[in-house]
Amino acid sequence: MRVLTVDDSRTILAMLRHTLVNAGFEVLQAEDGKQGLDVLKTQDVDVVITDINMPVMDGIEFIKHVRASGQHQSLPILILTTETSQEKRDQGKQAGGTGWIVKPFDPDKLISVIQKVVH
Amino acid sequence: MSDLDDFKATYFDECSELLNDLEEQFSAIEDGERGADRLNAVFRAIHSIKGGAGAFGFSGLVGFAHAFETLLDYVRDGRVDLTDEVVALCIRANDIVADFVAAAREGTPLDPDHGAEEKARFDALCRGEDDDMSGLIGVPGDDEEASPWKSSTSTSCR
Repeated sequence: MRVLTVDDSRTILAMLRHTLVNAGFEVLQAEDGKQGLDVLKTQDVDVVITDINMPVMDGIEFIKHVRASGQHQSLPILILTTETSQEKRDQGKQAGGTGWIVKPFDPDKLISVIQKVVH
Repeated sequence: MSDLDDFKATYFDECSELLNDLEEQFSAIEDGERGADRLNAVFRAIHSIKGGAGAFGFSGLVGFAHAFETLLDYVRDGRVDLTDEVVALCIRANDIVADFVAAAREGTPLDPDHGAEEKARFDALCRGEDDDMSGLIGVPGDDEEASPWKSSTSTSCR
């Protein structure tokens, strides 16, 4: 299974890679929404994990673009963020996000959520 | 060095870069460059520092950064005016974030009231209180509890 992680924090990207690789996933990385879109144009992925607050293109805009493309209507997109407000959750859901995980993430729970949304 | 130590080293390197960037951003803001891009950049930098701090359970840093980030969110939304007083407060707050980061890196505790005066002012500004409350100290504890990344709960993260 191939996972695309989108986050502007090197620390979070490193933690995600470690967790996902150890769980047997292949990992692709992007540092903002625009880079994430570029990856999706050329690579097949099974699930996306994205932050919200990023430079260039934030996570909400990224999800909107992915859904608008028409090619990834059913691609699971998990939002991984420190944001906890209902307003942001609603924005994420309306944009087309599949699920919401609050940082800091528990590795086991993250894997469990990925398996749940993919199957 | 364990994986967790590696992640912490990455985090502190990232913090150094973000703090340097914040210093430059606030210097420009102090000089009158107060556009949306600059405000968004400082918000994201504090947000990133907070996000990593939460992963390692640096609760003092998380609490202060959360209050600072909330003020910055109010400023960029126009709910709090970016007056010279608020700019000066943010510059002080930036130094305090650096103190918290240094304390976390060195493992040396800070005074329990460190940053309390500024945090109280953030909260007052976000509540719409314009009176200068900078004399306040001893605010209650953080309202956002940091829960560290539980490497011990997964064999993959030890």
